[in-house]
Amino acid sequence: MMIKRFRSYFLVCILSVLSPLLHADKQAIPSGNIDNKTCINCHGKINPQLIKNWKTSTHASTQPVTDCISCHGKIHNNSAATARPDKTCIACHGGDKSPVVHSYTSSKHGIIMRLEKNTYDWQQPLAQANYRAPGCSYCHMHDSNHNINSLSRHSLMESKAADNNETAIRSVCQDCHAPRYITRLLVNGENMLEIARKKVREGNNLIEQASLVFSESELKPARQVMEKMQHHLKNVYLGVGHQSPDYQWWHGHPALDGDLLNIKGIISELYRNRSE
Amino acid sequence: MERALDAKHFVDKPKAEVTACLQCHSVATKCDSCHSRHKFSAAEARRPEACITCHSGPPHPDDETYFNSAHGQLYLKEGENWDWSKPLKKGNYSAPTCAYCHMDEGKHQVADKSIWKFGLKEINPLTSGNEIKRKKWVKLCADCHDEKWSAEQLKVMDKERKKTWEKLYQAEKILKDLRTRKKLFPSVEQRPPYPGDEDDNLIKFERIGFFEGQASAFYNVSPIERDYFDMWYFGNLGAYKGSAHGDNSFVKKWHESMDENLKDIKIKAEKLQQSGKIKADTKIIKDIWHKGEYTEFNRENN
Repeated sequence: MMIKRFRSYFLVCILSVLSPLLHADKQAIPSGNIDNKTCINCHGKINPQLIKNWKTSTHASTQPVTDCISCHGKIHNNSAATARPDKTCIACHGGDKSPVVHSYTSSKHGIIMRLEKNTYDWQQPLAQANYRAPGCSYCHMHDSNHNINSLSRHSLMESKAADNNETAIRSVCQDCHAPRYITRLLVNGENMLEIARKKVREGNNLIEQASLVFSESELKPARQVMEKMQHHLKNVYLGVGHQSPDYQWWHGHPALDGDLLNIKGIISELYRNRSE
Repeated sequence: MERALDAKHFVDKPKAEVTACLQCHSVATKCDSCHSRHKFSAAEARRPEACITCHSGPPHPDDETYFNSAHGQLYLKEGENWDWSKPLKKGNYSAPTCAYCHMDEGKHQVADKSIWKFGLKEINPLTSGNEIKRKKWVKLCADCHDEKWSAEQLKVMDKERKKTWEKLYQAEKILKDLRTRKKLFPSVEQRPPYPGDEDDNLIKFERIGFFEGQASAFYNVSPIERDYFDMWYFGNLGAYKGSAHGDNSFVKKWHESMDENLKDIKIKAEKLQQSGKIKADTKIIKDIWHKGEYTEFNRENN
C-alpha cells in the first residue's frame, strides 16, 4: 500500500518537474510565418541527422536552394503532411509531362496514388506500408530520410556496383514486396539498363572511330543523335526505377534502336560519298 | 498465347531487353493488372487510370487522347465524385470512360466492337461484320447521344483513316520503288538479317508494309525505312487514337507529323535515287552494320 502511494507521489513529482519543459517545447513551436533558419536552428538540435541528410542531398545545392519551406511551407502546423503528397515534388520536377514525373504517374504505383491520394492519412510516417501505394516521398524520402539521392544513380553509364544503393532500395521495397520479387526486379532492371548502355557505347564507339577519318562538322549530325541517346538511356533508367513499361520500352529501347541505326546511317553515308 | 510474344522482334532480341513487354503482354492470364492487389476492386478497375499503365505512349496514346477529349475532361472534373460501385450501364455515369465503352456492362472482351483494330493495316470499314459492330457502337453512344449524330461520328473516323492510309501508301510506294531499283542503303545484304530470316532465309528482302512484317522493322534497317516505321507506328496510331477518342488536336498534330515524315522520306529517297554504285570498300559498310557491342550481343544472346 505504502509502495503504491509512494509510486503515485513519485509520478506526480516527475510530471511537475517535466511539465515546464514540455510546456517550453510547446511554446518553442513558432507560430505564423517562419523561415529556413528558424527550422534549422530547432531541428538541428532535435534531429541533427535529418538536417545532415538534407545538406548532403542535391536539394541543398540547387539554385535557388530547395530548403525546408520550399516543400513544407511557411507554417509549422501540419507541415509534414503538406510536404508528403506528390504535387510538392512535381511542382519543381518538370510538371506532369516531364519523363521523371510521367514515368511514375503512369506506373501502377502512380495510378493507385492518383485514385486514392485523397483517402490517405498524410500524417502517417513514410514507412511500414502506411500507404497502399508509394508516392515520390515514400521511396525517395523513406522514413524521413532527407537525402533524396539515396536511391538514385549518379552515373547512368556506370554499372550498379559504382553506386552501392541496392541496400537502400531493398529497404524501401520490402515494406510491401517479397525479397525474391525485389531481387527479380532489380536483376531484370539492371540487365535491361546494361543492354541500353551497350547501345550507347556502340554509338559512341562508331563516332569515335569515324572521327579518325572525318571532320567534326561532318560528324555533327551523328553527335546530335548521340545527345538523343542520352535522353533515351535516361528513359530506360526511369522506366526501370519507376516500373513504367512504357518508359522501359517505347520511350527507351526502340528509341535507342532508332538512334543507333541513324548513327550508322550517317557514318556509312560519309564513307560511301568519300570513296566516290 | 499473348499477342506480341510471338512477334519476330520479341523472339530475336535479348530476353533481358524484352522483359519490359511482359508487364503488359500478360494481361490475358492475370486479373491483378487492373484489379490491383490487395483490393481486387471492380470500382478501381472501372476508372480510366486503371488502363493507362499499358495504354499510353507513342503507339497507343489512349490516355492522352481520352483525357483531352470532352468525355475525359468531364471525367477529370467530376469523376472523383461519381459512384464507381455502379455497373457500366446507361444512366450510371455522366461521361463514358475506357471501360464504359470498351467493357460495356462488364464484358471482359475489350476489342469485340473494334472496327479498325490496332490500326496497323487498312481494313474495309463497311463489311457486313463491321456493319454489325457499327450498330453496336451507335447503340452504345445512344446512351447519351443522338443515334444519327453518333453514326456520323464513325464516318468522320473512317474519313480520317482513309486520309492516313493515303499518306502511308505514298511512303510505301517510294520505299518499294527504292527497293526495286536496289537503292536502299544499306541494303538487306549489307546489314544484319531481319529478325527470323536467319532460320528461313531463302529469300532476303527489305520488309515494307504490314503484310511483309513491318512491325519488327525498327532496328537493323536503313534510316529511311525506320522513318517510315515511325510514321506508320507513331504518326498513324497517334492520329487513329485521337480520332477514335474525340481529340481533334491530336489528329491535327499527328497528321502534320505524318506530312513532315513524308516530306523527309521524299527528300531522302531523291538522294538515294541519285546515288551511284558504292565504290567504297563494302567491308567498311558491312562492319559498321554487323559489328558493335550491342549488335553482336543481340546476335549471340537471343
